Amino acid sequence: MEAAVALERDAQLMLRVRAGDDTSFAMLLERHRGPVVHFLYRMVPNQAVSEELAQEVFLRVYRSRATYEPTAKFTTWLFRIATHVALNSIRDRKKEKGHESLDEELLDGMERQVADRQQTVEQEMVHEVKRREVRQAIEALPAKQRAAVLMHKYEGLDYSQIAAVLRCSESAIKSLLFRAYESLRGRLAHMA
Amino acid sequence: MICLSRNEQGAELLASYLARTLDTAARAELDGHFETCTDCRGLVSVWERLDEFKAPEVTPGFDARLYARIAAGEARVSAWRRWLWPPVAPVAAAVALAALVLFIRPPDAAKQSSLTSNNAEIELVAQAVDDLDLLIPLADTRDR
Amino acid sequence: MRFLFTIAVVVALAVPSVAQDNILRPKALRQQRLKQQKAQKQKMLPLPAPAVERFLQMSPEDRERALARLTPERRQQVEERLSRLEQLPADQRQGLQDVYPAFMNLRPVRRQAVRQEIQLLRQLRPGERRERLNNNAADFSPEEMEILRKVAGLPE
Repeated sequence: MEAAVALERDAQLMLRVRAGDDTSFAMLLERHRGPVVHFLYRMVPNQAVSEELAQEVFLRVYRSRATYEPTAKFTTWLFRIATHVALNSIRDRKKEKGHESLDEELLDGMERQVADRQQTVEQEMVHEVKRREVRQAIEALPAKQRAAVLMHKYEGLDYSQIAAVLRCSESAIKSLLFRAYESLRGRLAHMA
Repeated sequence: MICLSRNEQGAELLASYLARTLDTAARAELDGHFETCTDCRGLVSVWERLDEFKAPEVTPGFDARLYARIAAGEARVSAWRRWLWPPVAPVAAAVALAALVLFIRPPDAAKQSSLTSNNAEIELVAQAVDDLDLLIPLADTRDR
Repeated sequence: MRFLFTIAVVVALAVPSVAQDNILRPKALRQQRLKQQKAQKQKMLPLPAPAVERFLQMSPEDRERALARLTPERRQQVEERLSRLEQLPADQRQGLQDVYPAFMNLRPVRRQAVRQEIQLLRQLRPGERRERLNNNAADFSPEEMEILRKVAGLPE
């Protein structure tokens, strides 16, 4: 019940933004900034790029306020924009000559940021290795499978929402996710 | 129970299992299968392993950068309209100015007392205060 | 005798001047105390919620205008909580610096689930909290469990 109320509230806030209430936009940003940035980080594992893309997402949300209609859940609409922005970025980055898909040094720094201060050095090293392997396994997935896994695992969108974001049927999404998890199983089989 | 990979309903079953929408009996049957089938167990354990992929926190200044981009965009739109439609220039300029006033939030918030007495803004503060208070480590005594 | 008389004169002269110092310098003492309090405040970690920090740095008049928008009951609740937050010792402020960003990174619906769980944990004794978290671990992600354990003061 609480979840349903929270989702409706987002659509209501966006309608207030449409009516000219910019503070409601601030509230939406407060609620969804973290999840959107994290989704984009896991799509393009580079913190600076992911935040740049997240800014693009919220800019698009703001700029399309005049024509916003709550035909779907707000998070579905939001992640449709985020996925579109991410897929464009992935496609553009692939075209760049000599592009390294992972900036290892930068990522090392990012991963250290994520470190739990209370862990021992050894524990942290083990976690860092696991983090890197999972990250690489996810990045090896085709972009659409990657997006589906991230929305499913980390952002908690249900199958109907993911289907709406990727514009396919629910059964197609379940098959897509199954293939993705099979790939990930293969790549992560050695992990304890 | 045959392996999910060889089961026509495999994708559907895995989806329902992960979404926790299977009934108790079906879930128990799958759990039993996972105990003996490495392949299927591996599929489910991927779900737990993905927890290792944590994302860093959003950098401070994210909002300020976003609002500056929004304000710059509003000003550009207004300038363009002023060039094309002179009669609406004063209105466009007022809109740009209003957008700049509303959205530019310098990082040094101490100099800024532009938090207007607006219901939604104080709601935001109130919610944040509630959350901070809630997250204070619990003492040994019961709820305050 | 002369010696005692000298001591008495010295003491007699000294006492009024000390008293005079205290009388003459209350403003200086007050200023020094305020300076120390300000320095103390500045040394303290800010609260991790930018909206709340901005609010705390507003002028009293602006804060009053903003708070007046709340119902009296809600206002009292917010003011009590703000007061409690402002008086938090350094280690608890640091704790909030760790936990609040992680909490805000959760999706809104999960934040609500974590809020509800913390409210429930508040009603329990420490031993009961541990048992509840251990029993309900499957309902929360590792990030959510970390937040709950930190708030409940329980090790992993």
